[in-house]
Amino acid sequence: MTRYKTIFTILIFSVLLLFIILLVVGPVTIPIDSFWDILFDNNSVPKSWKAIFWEIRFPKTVTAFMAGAALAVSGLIMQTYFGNPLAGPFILGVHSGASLGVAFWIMATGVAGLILPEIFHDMGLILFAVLGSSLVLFLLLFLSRKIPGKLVLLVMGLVFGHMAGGIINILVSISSADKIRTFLLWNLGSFQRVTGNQLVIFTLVILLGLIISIFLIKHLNLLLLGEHYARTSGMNVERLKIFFILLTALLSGTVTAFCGPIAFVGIITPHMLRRWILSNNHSFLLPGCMLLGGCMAMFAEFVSNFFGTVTIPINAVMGLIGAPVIFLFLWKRKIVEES
Amino acid sequence: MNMMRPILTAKELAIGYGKTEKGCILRGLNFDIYPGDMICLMGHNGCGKTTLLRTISRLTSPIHGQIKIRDRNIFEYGSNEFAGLLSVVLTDKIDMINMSVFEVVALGRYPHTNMWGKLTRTDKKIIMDSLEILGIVDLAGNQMEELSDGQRQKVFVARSLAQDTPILLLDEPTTYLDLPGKLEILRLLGKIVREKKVAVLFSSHDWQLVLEMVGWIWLVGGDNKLRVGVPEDLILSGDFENCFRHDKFIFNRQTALFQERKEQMNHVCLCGNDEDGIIWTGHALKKENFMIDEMHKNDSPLIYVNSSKQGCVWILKKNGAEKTLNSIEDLLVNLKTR
Repeated sequence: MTRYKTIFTILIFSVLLLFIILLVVGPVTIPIDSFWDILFDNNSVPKSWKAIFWEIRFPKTVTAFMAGAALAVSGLIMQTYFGNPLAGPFILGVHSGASLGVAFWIMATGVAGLILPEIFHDMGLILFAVLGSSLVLFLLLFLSRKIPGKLVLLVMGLVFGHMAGGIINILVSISSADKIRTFLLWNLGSFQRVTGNQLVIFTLVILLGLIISIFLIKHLNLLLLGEHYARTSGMNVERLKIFFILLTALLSGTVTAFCGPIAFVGIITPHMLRRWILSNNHSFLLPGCMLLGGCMAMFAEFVSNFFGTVTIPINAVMGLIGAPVIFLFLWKRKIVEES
Repeated sequence: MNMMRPILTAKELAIGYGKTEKGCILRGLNFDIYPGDMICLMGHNGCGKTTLLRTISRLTSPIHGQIKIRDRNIFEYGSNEFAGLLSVVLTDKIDMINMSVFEVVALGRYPHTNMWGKLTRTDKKIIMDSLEILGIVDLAGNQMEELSDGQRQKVFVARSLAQDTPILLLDEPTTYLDLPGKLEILRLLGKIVREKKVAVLFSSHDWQLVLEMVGWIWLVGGDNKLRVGVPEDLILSGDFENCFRHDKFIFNRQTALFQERKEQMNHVCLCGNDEDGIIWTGHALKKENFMIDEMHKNDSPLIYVNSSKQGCVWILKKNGAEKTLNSIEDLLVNLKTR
């Protein structure tokens, strides 16, 4: 028990630390001791600090944390549900589905010549991203009943990804330059686009998803025994299956809608945590994933802005940090299997 | 037995794969299970043992007919309600790592806990009692990957026990275990039946052990009919022999063992002053195509097992010559060289 307490203390401390670092560090440094004045709108601090704080730093920090937490939790749920350590929103093609939805929304409104109010445009973005990711997950779900091998399922996810990519390419080729630009920027991944009202919607939707996920802990633990044991122990697998799918689609779909397809956090965080916490009990894993996923995303955001004027895209950072971790994981696993 | 009401009954049950007659494996099954029954389900590979267990536990739908638990069709129960009546131990190889034994056994409380899965004091007591019955209380804090196959099997039985159901089904619980492991699981099942008054139905291929430890078997015969009875009756009636009939083997009714059918027999005469020595020498000789005669014939070799304080020796008289040998191995070598 003390081990878990230590790990959670470290995690919470890291979250707070990264939160503060992200608020302080940037082209303009905002010292910590001025936070109080900014929060309570005292006039003793420069106006520009307030603007930077409320319009850039705070939204991107919250977004990064929420996005990381949501992706990690949806990755965890998928890994447990599919019983496959390599499942995750990116690899299972859920991101591609969301991309397709977003591409469709951005380009289709462009092609139809619609000019929508911003709030309506954003709602549509979320809706289509969630629809796209749900579509892929439901297809995978359908196939998972026909195909017993879970490895095939991963390959299927990749196949869907390529199909979605193909359709996106067609959409891009028939769209106007500014729509393409909007889409490509979205595709790079960024935590800095969510501001104002969007931040409120984003935060509320993710919070809702995370809260719902807490109610799944008991079921996720039982699923570790496999579907047959789950059924005979009283799980209503059919009903929960839809629940799992909708929730992961909501979480990863919403993040993808607002921040673009963010790679690796979803698949890596659960593994790192399992190795660290040495438990598969979701009572620890699920809240741990929220914190660790949040940390990873905030750290990526920090690195992406670290080189001053040059902003490295989040996905570039994720790739450079994430890929070696996956490699190490597979390498270690290979060694374990051989011994 | 007859005063009690059966807890589970099946009427004109047909089982198999899919929903049509085409996939039917077994049909016309009628059976009752009473509280406190310990039943072993036997039959050759692919005869439908696993399918029957899966059908009873609702993992597969019956093709027709129905199964009732407490006079109600099993499909009328809700998921949780049914999980309170029947628990299973499956053959699925579960790759459990980073979970403690206690946590795995606690999963058996799933149908009884609230939406958070919080374990109450009662839940914890039931989990500890389950560990206690299987004698693995001291393993409670161990991680699953540290356990041997036998211990893991006990953990899964304890998990089912923690589900606290009047019926317990186990699919080949003794497979993959070494001999002491098999005996231990069967002993524990007997203990569970006695102490918990639950009905246990399990499948097994370990005929010899079942014969020693189980009083009631269901035998799926070669004709795909289910025969029910005391194992000894099924041996005498020839049902057991028919079930596992094989051209190359003959069934020995005295030992309930299948032995290889021998084409050509060489005769030997075996005698001696040591009971065990004679039995095992005979055992080895039979495997090597020798027929053992009670009376000595002129032309056949004579073996005398002589046991003394110095140990056991075998005196072999063959073709007029006499040799003293120190092991059955030497004896066989000498017998085979002409």
